[in-house]
Amino acid sequence: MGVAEAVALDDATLVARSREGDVRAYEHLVRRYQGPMYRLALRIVGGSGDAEDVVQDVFLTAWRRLGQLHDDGAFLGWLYRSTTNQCLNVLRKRKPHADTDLDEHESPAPRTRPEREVEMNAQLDALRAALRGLTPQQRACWVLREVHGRSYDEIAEAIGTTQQAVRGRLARARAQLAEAMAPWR
Amino acid sequence: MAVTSGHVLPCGCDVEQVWEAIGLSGGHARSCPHCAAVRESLLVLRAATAELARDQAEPSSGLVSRVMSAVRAEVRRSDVLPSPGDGPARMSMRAVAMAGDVGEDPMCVRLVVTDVDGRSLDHLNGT
Ligand SMILES: [Zn+2]
Repeated sequence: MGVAEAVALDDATLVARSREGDVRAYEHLVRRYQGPMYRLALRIVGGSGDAEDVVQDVFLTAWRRLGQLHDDGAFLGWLYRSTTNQCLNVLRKRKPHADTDLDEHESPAPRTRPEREVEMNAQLDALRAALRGLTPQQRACWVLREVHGRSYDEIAEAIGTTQQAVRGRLARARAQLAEAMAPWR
Repeated sequence: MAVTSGHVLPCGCDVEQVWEAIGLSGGHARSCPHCAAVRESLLVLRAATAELARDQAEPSSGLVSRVMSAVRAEVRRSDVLPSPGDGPARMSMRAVAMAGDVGEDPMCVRLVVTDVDGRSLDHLNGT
């Protein structure tokens, strides 16, 4: 299977081939989704090292469990659930206040940037800091919904709760984040 | 369906109601000073959220190969210890086929079969 062919194949086909033991087909799935899963993990756990560990665990576990995935087209939803779960596990094991390895924002604003951009960077920093102040479950709900656009149903399944509980956590998260953004209004 | 956020404003509205009405050009959320202030904060939050979503941070370039090394190690393991119906079985089947061809002990045959990429396991054993 050439690269161009694999790129054109849909998830279901690559999943079916992977299940038959086609490691190359699986590598294309990893390449396709490592970015979004990494960014999801980074936004929930905060540190790039932990986020990469999460992604590695998720894709290895997915490989092991391909035989249990009954709907080949459901692979991406499965990845979102698995990544969210793994992030919450990492946060559960992490000692309270051990945020020394958390990444600071990626790009400090050079002085030459336009004022508007500097202000946006400051707002983004404030948002990231406020996200760290949420509970892991609130943060997971908010990131999945507002940044990754997942459905309430998917989020409920990912964190093992009801849609109503997801809406409640989202509401609390949004209220807390809005308060943190108040200085810029 | 209304969700009580616990953040009830002095006017009786909560933040989620203001959020749901954020696109409306009139109404209570625009005339009430409490709701209007929250609405402004939510607009800032919405813009910062869009910026956060645009941040396309990439994992380090070695992540795919780390994942695939772990997967290939898994494939080799399943060759030595075939797992019952849980996970890819192609290696085991190849190993069995080779065992038939060569007519030797399967544990020895493992050294002459190739992995699913066609590379010999001897070569991979050292990695
Ligand atoms: Zn009001």
